[in-house]
Amino acid sequence: MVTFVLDASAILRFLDGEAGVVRVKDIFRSALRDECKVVVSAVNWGEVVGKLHKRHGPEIATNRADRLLRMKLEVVSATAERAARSGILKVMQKIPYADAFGVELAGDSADHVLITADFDVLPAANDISIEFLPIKPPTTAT
Amino acid sequence: MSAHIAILATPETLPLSAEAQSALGVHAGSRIAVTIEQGRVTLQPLEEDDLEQLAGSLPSSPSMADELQQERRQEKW
Repeated sequence: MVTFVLDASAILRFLDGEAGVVRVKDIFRSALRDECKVVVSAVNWGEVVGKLHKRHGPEIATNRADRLLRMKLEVVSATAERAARSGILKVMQKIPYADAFGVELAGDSADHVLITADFDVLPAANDISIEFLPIKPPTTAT
Repeated sequence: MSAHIAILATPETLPLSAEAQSALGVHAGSRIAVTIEQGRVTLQPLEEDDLEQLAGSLPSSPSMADELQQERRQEKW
């Protein structure tokens, strides 16, 4: 069974209703039907909750976090081993540290696929499976 | 008609096969709307409905994902 590893950018795109929202929704729906697994690194989960808290306040942050977890989203702990591997990924592949946790988690097996809107993970594309969400159409300057 | 929300404590609580429960998308902890009408019982899992509500529920400007990416790129080490 495929395991989708959601980067924080994918979850935020889903909540924002931006490009890729339909794809992420389909993944959650499949997870609810036990057709796949969907996971997120605890580090990326913290980014999501923090961003929601900052932009929308504590009540909405808690509400959305609780509801996302009911979609069978599993938060995978950032253990010492995972943190060490992520730190090495950051240094060796020039990937931002938080992104590296998603890359590291996606390396768990050949059945893991990283879902992200962040092209900064591109250096890892030869090592793991990555599905990039659609690029957003350019905004028109006013 | 009467309706209430039930929470599925364990899969064994619901007298349906594992295959049927999977098709419904319910699991331990699922919330199910139970509606009784004209002698018929309808079970409606709420997670998939809520999924539709969640998608795009917080449109933001600037985008939260874009903002996060900029913040990630600012790390210095």
